[in-house]
Amino acid sequence: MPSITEPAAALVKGFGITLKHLFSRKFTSQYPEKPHPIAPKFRGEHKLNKDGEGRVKCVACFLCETNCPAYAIRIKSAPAPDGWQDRERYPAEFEVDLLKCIFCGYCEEACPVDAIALTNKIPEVETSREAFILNKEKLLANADLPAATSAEKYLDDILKKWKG
Amino acid sequence: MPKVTVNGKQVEVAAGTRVITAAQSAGVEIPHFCYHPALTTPANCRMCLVQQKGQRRLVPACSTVVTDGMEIDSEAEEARVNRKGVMEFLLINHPLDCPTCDEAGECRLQDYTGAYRMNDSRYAERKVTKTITNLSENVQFWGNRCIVCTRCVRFCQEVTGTSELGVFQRGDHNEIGVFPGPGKALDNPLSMNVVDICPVGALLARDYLHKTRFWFLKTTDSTCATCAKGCSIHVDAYRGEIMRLRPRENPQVNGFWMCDTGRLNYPYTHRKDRLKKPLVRKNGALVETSWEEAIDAVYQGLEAVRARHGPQAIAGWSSAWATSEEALLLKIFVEGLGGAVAGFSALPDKKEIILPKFTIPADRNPNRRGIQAHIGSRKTTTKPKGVHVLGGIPDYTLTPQEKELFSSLEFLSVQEIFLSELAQKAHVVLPGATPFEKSGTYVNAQEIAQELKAAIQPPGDAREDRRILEELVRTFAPQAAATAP
Repeated sequence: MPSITEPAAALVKGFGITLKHLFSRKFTSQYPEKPHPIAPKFRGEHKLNKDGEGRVKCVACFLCETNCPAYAIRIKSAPAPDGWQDRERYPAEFEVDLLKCIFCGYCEEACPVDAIALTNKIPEVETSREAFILNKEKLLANADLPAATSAEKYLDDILKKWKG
Repeated sequence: MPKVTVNGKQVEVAAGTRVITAAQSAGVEIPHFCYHPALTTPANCRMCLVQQKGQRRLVPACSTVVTDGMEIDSEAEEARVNRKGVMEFLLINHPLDCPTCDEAGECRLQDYTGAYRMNDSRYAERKVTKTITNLSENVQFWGNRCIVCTRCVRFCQEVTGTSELGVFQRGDHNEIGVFPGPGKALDNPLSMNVVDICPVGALLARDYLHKTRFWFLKTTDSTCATCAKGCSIHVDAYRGEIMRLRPRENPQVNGFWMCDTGRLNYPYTHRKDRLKKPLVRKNGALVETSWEEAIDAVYQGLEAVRARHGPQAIAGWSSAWATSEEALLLKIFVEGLGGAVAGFSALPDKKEIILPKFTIPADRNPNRRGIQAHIGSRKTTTKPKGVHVLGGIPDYTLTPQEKELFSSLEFLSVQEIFLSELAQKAHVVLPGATPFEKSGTYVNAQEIAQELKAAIQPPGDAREDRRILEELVRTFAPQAAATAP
């Protein structure tokens, strides 16, 4: 004859777990109403920085295009417009193909004038290949977004923590 | 013949050879800026100084003539220290703008800066700054970058004999410029060669200015298709677009140089109005069609003419810009139908330009000799009714003789690159290729056959003319195709 106390104890134990979770901290998040927090070192969409006068900072040296391991960058350079005293060339076109990009940040490291940087912005979902190409206007529109923590700074921070 | 030892390696060279050339045959590259094999040697850059056994001082390798038993050491400590010193002096006023300099990648100063680890400068004073000026329509001078090696000045004195350039000011203020005077500019027919011989980025071609970077260029060794001289050239392309043309060393034809006309004769390849699809005349208007239909239309048209007027009414018309292979294929094609190649169109002659060390011939057609060899012996006696024409000459205007010939045709098919005067009259227009897009052989005025190599792809559905003719031969006469090259 089976005992009744054994299943009853299991039942109480089971409900106990339910009860415990009812009062503990919830770990589900309300995405997409409440977006996830993004790590400061997260590398998302690119941006082209502007100089003091609001012009594109890039000097069209092609070093990012040269350095890009995924061939995602395409630049068309041209002689700078009249009145740009500080440089002779500028990018007439600047395109980053987000489908080719692997978000390694090498373009940012290669840039001699800090013109290109990666931001925390997550690339949006699009419905065509063309829409994934960031042109100069889109890149300049990102100019005010904060840049992702560079690899250099990230390593510095870790080293500082280690050293105490 | 004197025997010379360079860095421990003995070589035998012709009497009168310079040390720098002897070193080259021993496999030793002596750094230099001002020396150029086709120009006189002022030995002013002092970069090529080497140690010679038995001499107390270093000797300039560019101007010292070899003697028997000479022992040269280019890697001696003294020579290395000298080169480092020369580099340090040159870099005092040279800007650090390699990232935006068009010469970067093919710059001697940049190469040696890396080789001699000239990373830091001890010079703390203000740099002398100079301006950017246009020496002519085609050449821009960046004063800051100039190291005053005077290669360009000597080029204008010795090769073109026009002496437009000179060195002005003194000390570290000296710079290259055009001798002043109304209307004075660097405007000789070979002026853009100074861009190639400039060892730094001081002289830049304005057609290539800021276009791309040197290391992206895909270089193809080809032949210039602008005149009967047929200069050997490098075609530098980037992403299927020609960026610039450069002369290629060829002592038999052009030496180290090429003329500005030839160098700037490439933008037509990328013109928007290039033919990209075959055109067939339907109800009086030319409409775009497929290759199969266009080839079939040529077949139908020529066969109809042959049925009506006999094989004598079929003729071919070549072009002096076509390759020899195309001319031969046209001959096989037309003679297979029973007709004959009646002649060829060619640009009229211009005035011959004779410079001290370079001649630009009067004939503006790259392959007149090659075409003449393939015209064939059979001649048309009656006026042709159906003609297949090879075009491909940009901006060509028909001669009165050609207008006469093409006036009363029943069928006309044309291989063209633009919708030219003749193409507008044609029943079928087949889009062909420019000399940068096709391979073949050109025979120049000296009867030297030279290779033409495709550097880029033809636009759209356009094809190499040779492929079009092969297709036509295959369609019309299967037995003739077997004997085609």
